[in-house]
Amino acid sequence: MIRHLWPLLIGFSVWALAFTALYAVQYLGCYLGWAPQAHRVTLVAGAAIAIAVSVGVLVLQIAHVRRLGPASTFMHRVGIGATVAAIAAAIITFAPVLLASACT
Amino acid sequence: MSREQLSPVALHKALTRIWGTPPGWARFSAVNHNILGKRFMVVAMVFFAIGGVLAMLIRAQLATPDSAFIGPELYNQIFTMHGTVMMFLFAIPMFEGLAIYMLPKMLGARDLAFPRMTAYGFWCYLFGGTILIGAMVMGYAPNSGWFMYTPLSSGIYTPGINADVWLLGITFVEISAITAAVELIVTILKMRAPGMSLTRMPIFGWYMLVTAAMMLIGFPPLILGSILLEMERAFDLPFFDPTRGGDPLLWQHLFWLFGHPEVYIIFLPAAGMLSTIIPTFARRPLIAYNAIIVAIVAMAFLSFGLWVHHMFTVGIPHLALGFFSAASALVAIPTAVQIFAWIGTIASGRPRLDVPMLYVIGFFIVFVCGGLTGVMLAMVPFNTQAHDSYFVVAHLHYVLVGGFVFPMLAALYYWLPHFTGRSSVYRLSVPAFWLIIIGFNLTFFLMHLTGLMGMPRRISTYPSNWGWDWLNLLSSFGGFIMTMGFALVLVDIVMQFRFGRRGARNPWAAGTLEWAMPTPPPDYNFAALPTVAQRADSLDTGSLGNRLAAGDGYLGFARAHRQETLGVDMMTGNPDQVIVLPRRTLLPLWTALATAVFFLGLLFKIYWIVPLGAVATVGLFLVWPRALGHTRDAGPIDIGLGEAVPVDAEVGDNVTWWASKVAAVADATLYASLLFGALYLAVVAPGWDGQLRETNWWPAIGLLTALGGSAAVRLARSRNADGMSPCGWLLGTAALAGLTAAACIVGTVQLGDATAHANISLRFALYAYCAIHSGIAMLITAHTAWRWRGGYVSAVRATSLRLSMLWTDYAAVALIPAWGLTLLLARSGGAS
Repeated sequence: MIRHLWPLLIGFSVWALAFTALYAVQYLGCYLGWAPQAHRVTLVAGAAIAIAVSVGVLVLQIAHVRRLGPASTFMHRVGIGATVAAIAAAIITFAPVLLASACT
Repeated sequence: MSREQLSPVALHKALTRIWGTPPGWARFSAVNHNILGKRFMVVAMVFFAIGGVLAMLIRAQLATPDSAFIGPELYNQIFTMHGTVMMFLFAIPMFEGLAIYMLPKMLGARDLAFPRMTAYGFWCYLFGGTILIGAMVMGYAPNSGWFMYTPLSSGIYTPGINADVWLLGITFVEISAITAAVELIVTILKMRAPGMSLTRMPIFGWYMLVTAAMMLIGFPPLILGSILLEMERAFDLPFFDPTRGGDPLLWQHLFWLFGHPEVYIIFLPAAGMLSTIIPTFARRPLIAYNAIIVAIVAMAFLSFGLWVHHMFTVGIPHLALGFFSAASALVAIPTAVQIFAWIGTIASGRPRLDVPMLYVIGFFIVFVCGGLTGVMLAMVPFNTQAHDSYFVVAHLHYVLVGGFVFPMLAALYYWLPHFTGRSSVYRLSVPAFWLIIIGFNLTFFLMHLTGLMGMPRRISTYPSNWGWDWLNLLSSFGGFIMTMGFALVLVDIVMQFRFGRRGARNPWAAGTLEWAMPTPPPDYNFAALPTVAQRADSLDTGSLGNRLAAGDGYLGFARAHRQETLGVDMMTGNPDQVIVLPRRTLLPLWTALATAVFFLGLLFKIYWIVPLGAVATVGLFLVWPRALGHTRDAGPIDIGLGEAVPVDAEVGDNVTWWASKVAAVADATLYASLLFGALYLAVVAPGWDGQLRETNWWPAIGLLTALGGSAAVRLARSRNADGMSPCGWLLGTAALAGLTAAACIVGTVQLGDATAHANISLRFALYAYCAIHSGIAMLITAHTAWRWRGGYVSAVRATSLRLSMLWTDYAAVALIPAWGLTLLLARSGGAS
């Protein structure tokens, strides 16, 4: 069952995991006293990885739909839309890692 | 299995005998979703009226400066109760009631998956709400705001039971939200009409599926926060006390982790109603069906990523502000997708104006304004200026009244003919609409201005020379106009029930399945279950209803005095089981009363009675399965149309199994919130610099016994599958689970003084959680052994064993992070 719903959920699941992880890294970096530059690089790398993974998921989903052709289902097609929306959400919500101060 | 072939009238009578609830005292035993859905809605409307009276008192107090109408202490109780009643006792139960009543009909089922759980949830809601209102009448209402911020709500600053009333009363009420979420998810996934694949499901089903999933994830953080705060107030465990390693901001995180998704939990069902109503009146199918599904999934996820925008002014780093500001603004986009889809549907259809559409237009005007001020508040600089001002009050009312009350009124007028079987009496509904929309905007639009002029929330008086006088007076005036509008709606409803003419079955020519039945609906909904071969929101309900009433469909007969409905494959909608539902019983009422004893014992600090209430509740729950199950394997049975499927007890993919898994998700969310709290305090809270604590090894011993239990229950399952007795291994599993619970309890005792520091109290909470879950695993495995002895379990009928395995594994897995955090916390200091 969940297997069939994954196309719809995978994009935003990646976003949610990355959002939680970046928020946690932001606080942990401050708590552990990381150097500001190292902290920033970690956060930017985390955001970039999350976006890259999301794009990779989208590519796989599109390839899967093309491979299935007419046999692709509603869930596959809607899932592509959901992953595109999740990538847009990731770019917008993770953008502050480039500029905003992490600990003050 | 005996089966009778009957004429339509005889079939109706036979099914009514099986599904019906007699009048009189027997109504207390009702478990039917028609009765319970209406009860939820009626009680919610009573609470809405109470909340409305409280709002009028607030506006009377604020109408003039320096008012002496209500003193500050009473005012604190009134505004706290207004918010609490409207959010917890009106909005959530109201849509739950509508979903409980409507969803089985729209999906083509005869009832929800767990009728007794519906009844239990209703009684919990009623009793919990009564505790809150009773306390208010006696002058002990909560008075710390509907969000109960610590330290104001902590024992030092709010002695007495006022805050306890909120914490315990709301937790009691939230049982009904969790039970509703579980059974709505399972019903939507497993009990649709044959042929109704997920892609053919009416759009309201999608909305409710997402909403129920959000409730499952959203409510546990609040329940956990309430438990922790009650433990602080009752037993001085310092989770939120910064002088002993706690942090008041932990409460805010837990509260808003629930509180912000809550806004969307309230909005999405309303949006589902709009997506159902608008196509009917536009006389064309909803456009952008796929985009809407993407939008509601996006809203569901994003809504859990913006809780901190309620905390922008507490002093958090800029990066966190950036994350949550961006997410807060972003959520407007999927909302706008839906708004444009609705406008597009109207614009491209042949719209006709009727009373429900009046309220839909009201929704567009009010909600869009609320959404726009929401984007303003998502911006940190503006939020900092407007925080805790009347601008926020105006915004939240535009969002909640626009996004819930107006759609709910549209839905009320849309489905009233379904409830009553009568046509509307329109003389009052139109002036009622104008009174509500004019009164609402007069009241709340002006609050934007008072807020921007600096008037803070929650003040009981204000001086007359600050320029707020006329705005407040007009707001109060508007509030009373709006109240008159709501009073007219109430009168209109009563008029329709009392004087409405008997009307046609489907007055709006709607295409969803709830109109393919007589109105008001019979207790069994459908005399036969339909086959759905297209999207189930554009059906020819007239001819379909006639065929179903004649028994032409699945299960178009009465059999063995059993309440039967169909279960289907989740994706395809192909029938795969006959679900035999329990009949009416007083057990839910007794169980809720026992639960009330538990909560009242805690509230009045009569602690000796608390375990009695808990034991009685658990004991009564263990009695519930006695009425269900089979003592022999029957194999596939006839479901009509030449098909046969097994009963639910004989398939693995049954509703009980799914409900347990769904409940485990809610449970795991609560636990994840506790783990978050522990990490949060260790990392963020002040006062963690003291000496290190010794490592407590008892949970590690518990982990070993729990893993042993997981192995033992697998052996039990394997023996059962081979047709041998699993009893020995089941009892062994229960014993190991008992040892695990004992190890956790010893661990809590050995922690020492849990009131000394949050480090110790957190470990206390972790071990207590694990002990309780090991106890649950012990009870379930022992109960399975007992059911096996009674003949209710076989190699085919093995659901009990699978449940034993699920909860034994859960208890074992829960111990792993508990033990990991024990190691971390023991090294985090703060225990000097």
